[in-house]
Formats: sequence, structure tokens, C-alpha cells
Amino acid sequence: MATPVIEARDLTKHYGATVGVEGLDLIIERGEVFGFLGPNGAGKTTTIKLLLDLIAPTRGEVLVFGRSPRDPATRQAIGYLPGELSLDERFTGKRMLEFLDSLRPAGRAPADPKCRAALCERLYLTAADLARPIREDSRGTKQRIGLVSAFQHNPDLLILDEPTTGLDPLVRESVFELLAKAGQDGRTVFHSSHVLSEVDRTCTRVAVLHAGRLRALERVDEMRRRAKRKMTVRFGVPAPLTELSLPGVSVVSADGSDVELRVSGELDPLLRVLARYPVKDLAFREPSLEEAFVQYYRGNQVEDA
Amino acid sequence: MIATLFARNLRHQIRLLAALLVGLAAIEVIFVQVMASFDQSTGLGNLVELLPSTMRDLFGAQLAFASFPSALAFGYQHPVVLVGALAFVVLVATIPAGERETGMLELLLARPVPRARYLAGVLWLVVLGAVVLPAALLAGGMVGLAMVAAPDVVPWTRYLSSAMGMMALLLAFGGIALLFAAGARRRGPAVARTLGLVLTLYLVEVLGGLWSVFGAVQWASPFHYFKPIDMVMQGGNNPSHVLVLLSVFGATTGAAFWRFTRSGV
Repeated sequence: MATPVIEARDLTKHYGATVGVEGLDLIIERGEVFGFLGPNGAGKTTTIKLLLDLIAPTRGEVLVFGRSPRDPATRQAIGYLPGELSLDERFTGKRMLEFLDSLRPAGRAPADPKCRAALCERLYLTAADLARPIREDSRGTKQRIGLVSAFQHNPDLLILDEPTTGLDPLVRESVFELLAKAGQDGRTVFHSSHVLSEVDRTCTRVAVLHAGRLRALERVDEMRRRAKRKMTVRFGVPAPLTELSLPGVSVVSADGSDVELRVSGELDPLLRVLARYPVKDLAFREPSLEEAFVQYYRGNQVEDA
Repeated sequence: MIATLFARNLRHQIRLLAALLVGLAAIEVIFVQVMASFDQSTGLGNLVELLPSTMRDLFGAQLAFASFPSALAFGYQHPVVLVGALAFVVLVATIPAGERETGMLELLLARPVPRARYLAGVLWLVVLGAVVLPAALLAGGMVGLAMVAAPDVVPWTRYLSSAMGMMALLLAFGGIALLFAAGARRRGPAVARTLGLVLTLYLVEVLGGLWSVFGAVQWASPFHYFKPIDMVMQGGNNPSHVLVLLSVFGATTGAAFWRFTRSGV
């Protein structure tokens, strides 16, 4: 069995009495584009810092490529974009990229300038952008420089914390393409975000973190499948609301002959009811990850309560 | 990798360092000119007699050596000179705290940079500052003596021991600043703590000459082991003094590395 790219066992970080992360168990395999979801303060950044050995765990351990992230060779195989990016304001963008690339173990080849140029082009970074001191750059330009620095040395693992922050829609599209391409190339992406639609587009599997604890870990399509689906029905007669009160079916809204339902589980009982009435139109919509997440999250909060 | 990090740090501080080097050298040149002028007109011994008795008590034995050669050594402990040199060393040594505060440290240490090497890149610049700043004073003295046509009477090499003592003093405070910065999350408090300590220890040494209560703790001040005038008059460093200062540097730097490699970013 291949060594997982990331393996966390009982990973725990406490800041005094505050829980950063508690008992996180996680395995991420090669080639996965993995979404790491959670609201602000859930512990996403703490987990990332543990993955990079920027902080030490209170308990448990994390291995990256089967090795400790303290090993510089491990970190050479990682491309990292922090959530709150800070670059050396006195450098130009070009110098910054060269400087970050130069911080590599002896004997390792520098980043291919052609690869860097291609990345810059893809992220709409012009030569003029790169020639300017970073202190004069906009937030979006700094973010694009940060993205190039994460990708430029062709790392096997990309750890990206809110990678599309401050980017315009066009560049955001390019970032999604880069993430998809990385997955296709067999590289692993750890995409931390609180924007569900982004993770929905890019990731194959997601973990949901809340208050430092892992609340869900499953495939995106599975999460969607388990979520309640929305069904809109237009009857030829006034909607038979009483008969629609079935297990697993709830009426979201009703307006004369139109009714919107939320359905989970088996469809047979509902279809039998519908078959007894004239139906003019029927629409069944797959839930987005966002809807699935919100339902999941609300369900867990009820359980917690 | 250390050289790359050092080069970046040097690049960021090069203007300040160059300005200090020129400034310190110029101060020593002017100092030589002024002292030579006093020595030829009034005589430095007579000048000492004009000082208030409190001042004479304060400088004590050092004034017994009031002469042109010893007066030149005073340039090495002139408050302006010490403030300039110490400010540079403290500013450089607190770079890690500044980069932790801005988030730059996170980006750097996420690369394959061992923490000890990052800190070594800072330490190299501290050492460079501690070496070249006293050297600038030495160069200023050499130029000044040549200008007053006294290089045969007072060779500039006589001040090598003063420069070496100053280097040891700067290293000691550089180590202390590095230790404060190694665990600090913000640069401001690290600088403030270091400068506060420098000022306190300076006062302990100065007031120790006046009041016995401070005299009893003078040994705890690195300034107690830096006597440039004595060095010149006695023809060399007191090796134990230099050893004490270098031990402070070694101990604080070692502690800084230990702390930095274990602290979170």
C-alpha cells in the first residue's frame, strides 16, 4: 500500500485552555484534491501550521510523505500559500519569487524559469507587475505572486489556505484550472476554504472541521447524495398537502398548485401519491455542496445540542 | 542557504549600516581634532580640573589618565557612539520578531529552511555589525591622527583593544536582543525590552561609581567590562573582561537558538 501523502493521528493542539485542533485523524492519498472546510476559527489554519511544522502538536503526530514535516526535504516537496500572505515588501515580485525558490536544499535544481513564466502568464501577471516593488502591488497581485511561489517548484503537495482571496473572477477560474491540472498530474492538493462553492468545483473529498474537531470526512458526491434533494411540483389541481406528509418528505413552500418539497430516502411513497394527481411539471434538483454542508452542519448542531 | 538569508538581511540594512559606518568614523575624526586642539591650547589635565566634583567622582580613575591618548579612547564609550552602534545591533537581532509579526517568517519556514539556519542568517549580520562598527571608529581615529600629524606620537593600533572591547560589548547585547526576539510575537516589545535592559544596565554601571548600593551590582552590567580608556592606558584588554562579554554573547545566543527552534510561528 502506498504511503499516504498526509497522515494525521490524534493530532491535537491546545493554546492554553483554547482548543485549536482536537484528536484529528486524517489520511490523504496521492492525487487527491482535498477540501478542508470550516467556518472561521474552526482550526483550519492551526492544522495547516501543524502540517508544516510551524507549530508543534500538543498531542499526536502528523506525517507528510511518511516523514516528519520538520525534515527540510519534506517541506521542499510542499508548495504553500498562507491564508494571510505576507511578502517582503522591499523586493520586486520577480526577486521575491527567485528568493523563495533559492531557499532549497543543496543539490536541488532551481525552478524552471519557463514553468514560472507559464504560471505568471496563466495568472495574468505581467512583466511590469513583477518588476514593481511589492509594496506598490494590490492585494490581488500579491496573492498571484504567492500562488506562483507555491506552484513554481512543481511540488508534490500543495497546501493552499483560501487561495482565491482577493482575486477577480477571471484569475479565480485560472486557479481552479491549476488545481484541477495538479490533481490530473497526480499531485495532491490540500485546499482549505470556507467558500463551499470553490471546494465543490475543485475537490473530490472534503473534511469539515468545527471548533477544532473533525465533523465530516467524505467524498463530495457522497455528501451530496446523502443530502435532501429539492423537488418542485406543479399540479393540475390544488396541491394535496395533507397527502404529501410522508416520512422523509417535507414541504418547504406551497402556493396554490405549486409546491416545493425536500426529499430524502426512498422516492416510491412520494411517486405513488403524485401518480394519483395530474402533474403539469416536475423538477428535481441535485443539492449543491453548500446545501449539503448546511444541512449536515445544522443536523450536527442539533445533535450537539 | 545561510548566505542567501544573510545577503537578504544585509541588503535591507545596508543603507543604515553604511550611514553608521560613515557617521562613527566622522565622529572619531572630529573627536581627534577637538582633543588635539584642547591638548595643544589648554592641556587636557587642566580641563579636568574645570569639571564639577560630581563628574570627577563619576569618572573616577579614568580621569587620572586624562591625556590625549586616553581622551581619544573616550570616543569608544561616547553615548552617541554607543547608542548608534547598539541601536543597529538590536534592530538587526530583532528581525525574527518583526518577520513573525508580519507573517513573513511563516512563508520562509514553510520552505525547506531549518530554523537554526534562518536564525544564523540574522546572527551573521549581528556579528558583522559588531565587527565593522568598532572598525569604523578605528579607521576614523587613524584618519584623525594622520590629520593632526600625530600618528607617530599615538599610533592608531593602540586603539585595537578598545575596538575589540566594543565588539565584545555589541555582541553581548546582540545576543540578549536575539534571545528576546526568538520568542517574541511582535518586534516592538522585543526592541523595547532590550533597550530598557541596555539603559538599566548602563545606569547601574554609571551610578555604581557614585553610590555603593549600585556599586554592589555593577558586576551584572556588561558595561562594567568595557573600559576603553583603561585598555589604552594599560596597553591592552583585560582578557577576563572580554571573556565575560563573549560568554554573555555565547550563552544568550545559545538560549536564543534553543528558544527559536521550539517556539511556534
